[in-house]
Amino acid sequence: MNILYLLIPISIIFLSLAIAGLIWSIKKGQYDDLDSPAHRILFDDDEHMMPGNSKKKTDESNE
Amino acid sequence: MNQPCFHCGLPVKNANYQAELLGSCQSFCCTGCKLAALTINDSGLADFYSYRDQFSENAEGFQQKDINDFKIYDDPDIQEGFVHTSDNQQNFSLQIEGITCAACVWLIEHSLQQLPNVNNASLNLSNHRLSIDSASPEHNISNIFATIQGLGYGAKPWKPGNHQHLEKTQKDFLIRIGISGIGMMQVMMNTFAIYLGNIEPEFESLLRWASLVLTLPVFFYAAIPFYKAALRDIKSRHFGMDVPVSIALILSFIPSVWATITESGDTYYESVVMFTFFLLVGRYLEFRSRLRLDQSGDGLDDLIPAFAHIIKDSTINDIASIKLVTGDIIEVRPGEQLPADGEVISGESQINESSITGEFNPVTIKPGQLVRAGTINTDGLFQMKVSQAGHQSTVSQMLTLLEKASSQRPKIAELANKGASYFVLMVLFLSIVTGLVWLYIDPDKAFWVAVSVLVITCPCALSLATPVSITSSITALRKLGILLTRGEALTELNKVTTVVFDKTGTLTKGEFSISEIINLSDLSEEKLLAIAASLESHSEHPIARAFVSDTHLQLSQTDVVTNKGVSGVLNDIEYRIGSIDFCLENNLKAPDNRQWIALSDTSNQKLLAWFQINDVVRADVDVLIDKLKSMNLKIQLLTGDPSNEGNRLGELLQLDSVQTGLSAKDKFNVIQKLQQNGESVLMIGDGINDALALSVANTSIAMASGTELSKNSADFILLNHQLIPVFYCIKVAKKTSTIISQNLSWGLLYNIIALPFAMMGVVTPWMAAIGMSFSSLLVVFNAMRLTKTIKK
Repeated sequence: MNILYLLIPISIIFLSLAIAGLIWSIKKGQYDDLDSPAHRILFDDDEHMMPGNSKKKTDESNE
Repeated sequence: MNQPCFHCGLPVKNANYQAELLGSCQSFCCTGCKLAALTINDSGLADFYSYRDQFSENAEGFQQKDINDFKIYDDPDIQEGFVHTSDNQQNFSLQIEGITCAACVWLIEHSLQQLPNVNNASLNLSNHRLSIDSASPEHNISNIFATIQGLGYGAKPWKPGNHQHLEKTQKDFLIRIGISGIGMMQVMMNTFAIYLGNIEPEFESLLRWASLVLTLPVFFYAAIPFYKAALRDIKSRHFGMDVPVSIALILSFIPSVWATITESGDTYYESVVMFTFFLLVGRYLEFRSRLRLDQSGDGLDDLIPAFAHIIKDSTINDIASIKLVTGDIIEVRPGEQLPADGEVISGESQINESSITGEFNPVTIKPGQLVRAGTINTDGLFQMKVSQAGHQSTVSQMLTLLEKASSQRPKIAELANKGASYFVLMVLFLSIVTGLVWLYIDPDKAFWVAVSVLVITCPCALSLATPVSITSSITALRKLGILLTRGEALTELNKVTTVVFDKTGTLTKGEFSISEIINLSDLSEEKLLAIAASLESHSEHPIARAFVSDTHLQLSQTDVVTNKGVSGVLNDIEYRIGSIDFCLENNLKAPDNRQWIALSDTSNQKLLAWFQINDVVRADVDVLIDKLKSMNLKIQLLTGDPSNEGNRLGELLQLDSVQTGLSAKDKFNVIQKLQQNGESVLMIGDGINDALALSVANTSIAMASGTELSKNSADFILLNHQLIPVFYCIKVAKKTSTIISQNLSWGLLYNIIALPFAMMGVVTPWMAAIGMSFSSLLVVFNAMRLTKTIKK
């Protein structure tokens, strides 16, 4: 059980890291918009990168 | 069968607007939508239409500005306040209107990033704010505005003000909740080992020390808001919930620390962190329910146009409206908004004063007459001399008045908290008594029993009861198309005894339409309407919009005569529409004293038809009034319209009282008088002239179609152009107050049951922790019923 003397301080260190990470992400504004990222992933705007999708390729070359 | 517009989903009334898009022919309801769709397609972003899960907002409303109108934003004076420039880099935020779903975010971001100078554009779906980093060459900002408008959205500069402070508070809250949440999990883990019992004292002490370390940030950082509020309460001698909360926190924490150091007694770290966590969540919900909708700028931006045409040395130049000074001569063109107060010096027109008076029936103006900023010029061109501009103008002064009025609003007592705080003070007293009694029974245990009385009866569930209920009713209301901007308003709405309506724009649609046609010719009504609509399509007058027809006739020699009407030639016959003396030479009279528009064949001096023009009452008004009456509410109508229309409507709907011809200030006075007579007033309105009344009433509802100002002063906003949600508001309010009282009774009941056990000294820390979390969760689940029950 003596291992607790090591494990508990380690758990506290991990927690401090977690809290530091949380504060950092809140301050960076990562929690400002909780709605759009969930949808953003669904927009297939990478179609032109897929092989055999020539229609989109022409679009890209126009840009 | 009307098919929906490809862009906005409104029914397509005629086949005038069609375009080849996405491989097939699509129909649109108006030019605005068609243009937006074509723009989107041309920028290679037509995928938008497959990504979105909702129709877009109708684009026409956002496309009324000319590209040149945005040039004003390239002016450094205007940019000041919302654009930050550094190292040739501009950073600014815009408030975007018309966003309906996440695909809009994708569309706007992608099309802006195609612009040459934009380095980064990111749009926040929660608050509809677009943040842009760009290089700063000339005409850059106007270009961005124009692009957004082209896509069918509206954009306004966003100026950080009051809001930045709120945003900081919100982040602060999240950090505190995060810290206490993480702390809670870990402390619980440690204490669970202790709860299980078979632990060597050596390790128990270790776990206690670990919990102490974890509780420190929660107690000394996360819980700070409670101590601060408690200190403020003590200073002002007004006991809210924070005093007992702080006392409970301190009196659970300090003995625990002592127990840890001396290796004796019980520790209550888990209660401290859990208590903090639950309460912070409750406070956060309460704070969010108070957060108003985004308000950008100072409200004045919406009321006066960005720039004016100034006449100096007989040349006309455009300058920013805010730069106008008294004595400047400006020109106002048809369809434009007036940028300042002043006197007409030449020209003649009609002015739509709805932004000031709420009535959209235009007023005729002649040289010498005074006109006010924010009103809209309908069809004539005139020149005026500025008397008051910017913050001196009438609209601006109304704003100041409004701010004063809303600060005077009767303070809503912190519901429930009063009773609860008495209860907790009683508990404090009881725990002292318990401690004293136990001194005689068993002096060693006395202190710990007193502490357990305090902990078990901590007012956690009690103080969660109100905020969680209000939060879930906000969700329920949003599903019904109602936006609640001030959570406490729900409890006020429940006490309402009198409902006051505005007429124009609230009970009625606020736009002219034809309510009756008297056909005096041998032509069909469709044909008459087609002629009338084709004539009126040349006029900017609000009445002109009442005439809608599917067939558009090509007229020649059309002429718009200010204040009179429109004339035009079709098949060698001259037709005239407008006032009767304009249409015919003989002195005919209108059928009655309502508003009639004549259509004549002037070539043959023949009257063809009379159109009765009226403001149509919303379809669901009578249903709503019936429902309100069945709730025994008194209903009044206060209107700025001096005509008989208000009385007629009052009779039709059998309202309790009708007052016509009231100014904004009069409405305010009427409501104050009602309040002095002990009535609790609900005001429902939409115009700027209602804003004062909305902010002084006990609670208020504004229409989404109303002015920004009225929406800012109201507690509820009806989003879908119907009145019946007013009834839902009241229903939800009633339900909420039932749930709140259930929650409060449960909180009290739990405490009353637990109290004797704690006083007998049989409650251990783990029981206290379970009791507290169970009672809090019960309150939360009970509140969540609100979202489900109100469906019909």
